[in-house]
Amino acid sequence: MDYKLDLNYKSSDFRSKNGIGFKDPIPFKSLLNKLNILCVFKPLSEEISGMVGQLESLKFMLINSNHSIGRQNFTIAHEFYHLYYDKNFKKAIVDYKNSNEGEEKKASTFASVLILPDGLIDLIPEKERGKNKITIQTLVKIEQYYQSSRTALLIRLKNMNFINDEYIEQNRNNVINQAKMLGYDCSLYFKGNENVVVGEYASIAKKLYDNEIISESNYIDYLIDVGMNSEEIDLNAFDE
Amino acid sequence: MNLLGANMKRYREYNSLTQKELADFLGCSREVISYYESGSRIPKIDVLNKISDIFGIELCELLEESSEMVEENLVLAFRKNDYSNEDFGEIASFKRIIKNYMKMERLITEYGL
Repeated sequence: MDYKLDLNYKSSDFRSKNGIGFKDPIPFKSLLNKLNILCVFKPLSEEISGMVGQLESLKFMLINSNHSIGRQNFTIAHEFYHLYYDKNFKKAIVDYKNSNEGEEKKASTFASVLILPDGLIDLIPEKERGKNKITIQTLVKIEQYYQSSRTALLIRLKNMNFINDEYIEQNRNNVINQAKMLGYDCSLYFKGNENVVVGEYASIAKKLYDNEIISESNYIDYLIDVGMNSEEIDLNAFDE
Repeated sequence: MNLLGANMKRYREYNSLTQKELADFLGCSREVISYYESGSRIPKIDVLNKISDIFGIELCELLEESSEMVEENLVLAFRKNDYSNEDFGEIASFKRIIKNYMKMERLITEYGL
């Protein structure tokens, strides 16, 4: 089977198994929670996108919080491929920005189709469906709806034969100002999520503390390890 | 070479780290790492904690005698490529979170919560 078609099936399979409609945006953080993936966001060098791994039944990801939110979403989708479809997955993978070979390329194609499904066409007005006719307003509308980076969107539209390389060159810059001028929230284009931990880590720590299995200082240490500072920790927050 | 030194060397090599790179991360000289590995000096507890974090293992596992056990733990050992020292620190703290999580999960199972 053509590998792109195969990855299209895989992304549909992923959506279907997780109850996400074929045209809907991916709810990244709630999906990570649902899949019980421990996802930690940390500031890393530009060239590292993230890491993914599995240890016993625990699946975990490290995502570069120095990248824009749109790019972080792409990395998360890329890592979903490694966790659920990569036959060569070896328990721990480091993903670099420019890795474009074998399973890495497949993971990126999967991510592109998963985040920006064929159904995005519904957001393109009829009169803009010819070659290179899509307006900037439509680009911004699509990337905001699907929480995608501009780069990922342009590559996807090229693969769908809506645009060519020249169009990409003309429309890859000035993205933040365009979104701002159209009244959108621009957080998608900026870095974020530093030290955010998605998963049940803090809930499990609380459960152990509440049941007096770990001491107060143990509990506090666990919270400090995920980036909370001691002044933020309020052990009485759940008191009635 | 004592057991601690031998395990340190083994984990360091598995992580594709040179003595100099580990020394930079710990803020000491390469010679100190060499002393640790040969067993002529014993690291202090805070240094051992940092070392176990970067290797993604429990501190007590640096003293683990069973080679099988050591191999099992290596799955968390991301191989080093060209990380900066800052990346190295962030990755160590990520590994610590995973270690904590695994430990907590084991307690949850053990106490039937």
